[in-house]
Amino acid sequence: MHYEFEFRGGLNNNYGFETELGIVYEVKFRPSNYLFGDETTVYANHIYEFIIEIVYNPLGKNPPLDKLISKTISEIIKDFYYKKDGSVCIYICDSSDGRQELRRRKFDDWFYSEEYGLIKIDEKIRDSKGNVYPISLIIQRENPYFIEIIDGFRKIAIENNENK
Amino acid sequence: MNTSSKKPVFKSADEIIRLMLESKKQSKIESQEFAKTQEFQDMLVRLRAMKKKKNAL
Repeated sequence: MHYEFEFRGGLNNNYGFETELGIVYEVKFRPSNYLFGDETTVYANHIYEFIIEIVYNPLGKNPPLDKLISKTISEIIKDFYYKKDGSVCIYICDSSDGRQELRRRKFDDWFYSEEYGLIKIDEKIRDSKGNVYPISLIIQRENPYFIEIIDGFRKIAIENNENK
Repeated sequence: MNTSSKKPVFKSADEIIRLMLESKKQSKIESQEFAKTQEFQDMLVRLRAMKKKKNAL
């Protein structure tokens, strides 16, 4: 069971859904060919940044735990991969407010709710100031560039972390 | 998948992080703008209709 959702499409592949409490979420898959640091790879144009936003919150406070949200997001991820076969999604947890691990746990919850032949790989990327950002990649097992993509993803984290 | 003819432009971690965080900020602005539109209201109508239909089954 999950909330009904709508694919609005557009450049950012927008999805929308409304919870029982009237909170409206948008899920986006923004084209982000730069994410592996090289826009010329054959798979660069299949890389998307996964984003979830609260569009409308009538509660005026942080929404309470709602297990149907995880199931809905899982369904949306499944739907997106069905529509855009061969896609690769990246999720970065903003660390500016120190809540990056909370965001990662939420993302894990969304992903682990179901299995759709997708694999999630977790890494961390560090900026020159030493801030660490958890980053996850979702890829289909059957992606023809699976090894190259995993290799590229690991390189971003390893090379940048070794240089600090 | 088509191959690209562009020259490789490798980006640093700082650049990648900056671009991703900017993208998130931009996304938030877009969502806030979307909430003010008729399109948003129309989406809510459709979502509620879908829910009603599902519950009726």
